[in-house]
Amino acid sequence: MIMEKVLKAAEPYLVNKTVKDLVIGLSLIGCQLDSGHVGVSYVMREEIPRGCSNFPFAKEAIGKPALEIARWVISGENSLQRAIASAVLAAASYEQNLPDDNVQGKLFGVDFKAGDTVGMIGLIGPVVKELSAKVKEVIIFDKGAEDPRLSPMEKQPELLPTCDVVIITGTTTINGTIDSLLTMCSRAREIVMVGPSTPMYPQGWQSSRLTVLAGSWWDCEHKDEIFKIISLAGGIRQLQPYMQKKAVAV
Amino acid sequence: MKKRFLYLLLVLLLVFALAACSSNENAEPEENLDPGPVQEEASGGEEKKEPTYKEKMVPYDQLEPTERIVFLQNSLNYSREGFYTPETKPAAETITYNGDNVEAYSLSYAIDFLTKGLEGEVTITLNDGSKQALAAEDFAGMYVSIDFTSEEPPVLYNPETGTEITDFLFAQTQAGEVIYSVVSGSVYNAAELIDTIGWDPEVTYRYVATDKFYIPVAPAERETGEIRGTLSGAINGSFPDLTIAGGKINDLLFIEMMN
Repeated sequence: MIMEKVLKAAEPYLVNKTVKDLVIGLSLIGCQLDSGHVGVSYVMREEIPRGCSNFPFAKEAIGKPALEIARWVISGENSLQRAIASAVLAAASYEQNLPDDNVQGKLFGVDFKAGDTVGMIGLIGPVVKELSAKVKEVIIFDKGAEDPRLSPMEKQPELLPTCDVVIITGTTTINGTIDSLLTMCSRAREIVMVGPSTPMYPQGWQSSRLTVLAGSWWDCEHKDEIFKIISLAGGIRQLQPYMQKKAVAV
Repeated sequence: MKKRFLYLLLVLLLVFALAACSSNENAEPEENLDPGPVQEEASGGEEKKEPTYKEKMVPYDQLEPTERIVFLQNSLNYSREGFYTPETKPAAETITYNGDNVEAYSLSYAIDFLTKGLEGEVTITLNDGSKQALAAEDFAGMYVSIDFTSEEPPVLYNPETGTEITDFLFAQTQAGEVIYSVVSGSVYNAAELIDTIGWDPEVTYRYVATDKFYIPVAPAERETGEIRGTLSGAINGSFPDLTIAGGKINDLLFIEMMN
């Protein structure tokens, strides 16, 4: 399981830190560590259990060691608990020196070629728009979205092996599909993990097929604004003013 | 007898005192096991931490406005409250351009951020480096046709006079202020940008975001800094050698001189 290796790589950045604050919105989760750094992850609404008072672990996370909460990314009982861990991992990743994304207009630091077939797990509108003008074809899968551009989920095992480049959302580390997806990308020259939920620990991914981590950091000076937006069901678009995109080769 | 009673009393007092001490020692680990007090202790410690830059920052409205380089796209593309509110945010209008009705923003949104106003002529610099002079009144009446997520330069057009600029990079007023276009996907070195418009490269400038957050950026930090037009259409600043705010300022609205 690749996330065990990622967690191991993240450990040095998690020790001696605690979860200072946490917010769980309809779309996103925000976490601040006592270092001041902020992490954001995605809420997979369609996968969390129904009902009220089902998530006592959330309140209990505040004040707990960051490493203990980050371990939920593997041991979490549901995708919400794993997503909290993902936000903790994101916040702790700041202590590394990671390069900015899209420097000199090169998306994710990847050379996309005109003849490329690009697979995308998780629909990201602006990236689709950017890539559609550059490559031969973009094949998109997204279980949680309704869009005419989407390919049927059952076609994944057939189509992903035909892709030259695959872009995978970081939420696949929350719903536990990352291992099987990476196995399907047998021909891909580049496999890029994107989105705020991307665990930005390159060392942890070195034994996998992943080639680029393209996640986000968040402007800690605006922590209050970020948490407010999340608490009011805001999404990435609303948080964009506070986003700092990062991309690092694995 | 009295001495024996006093001795017994002393022994009893000692026993009680030791028992009390022992009881406190037992209580301590239990308290430490309880996440409640530990948490309070943690937050008590945090209060002693140094305030963040933003908490120490003098509110922008208390500063004296000075000469500016205004970024065209962010002066038109509303992202968050600050200089604009949802009620005052820029709105596109319908103008007639080449016989078609098109949506365009009045350039006055950008001009209003200039502190020295428009007089005489404005010098327009195009992306190919060529320059042309334009009457300030003509420039002030222009509209901007723009797709914020496109790599194409915006089109500036005055429906009254028919003046059109199709490859716009920046405009400089007689007072030296600038309106600068940074299209999606483009990147400018921060020091070179200052150099291009002829401002003093040796001083610290204030970089101000649309929400009135700002950072001072010195020449050494500008050397490695970049102004980027992002895929979403916003213009952001990145200064790897600046420690404040992680060296980032998103939704950069203008750069201004610091008195």
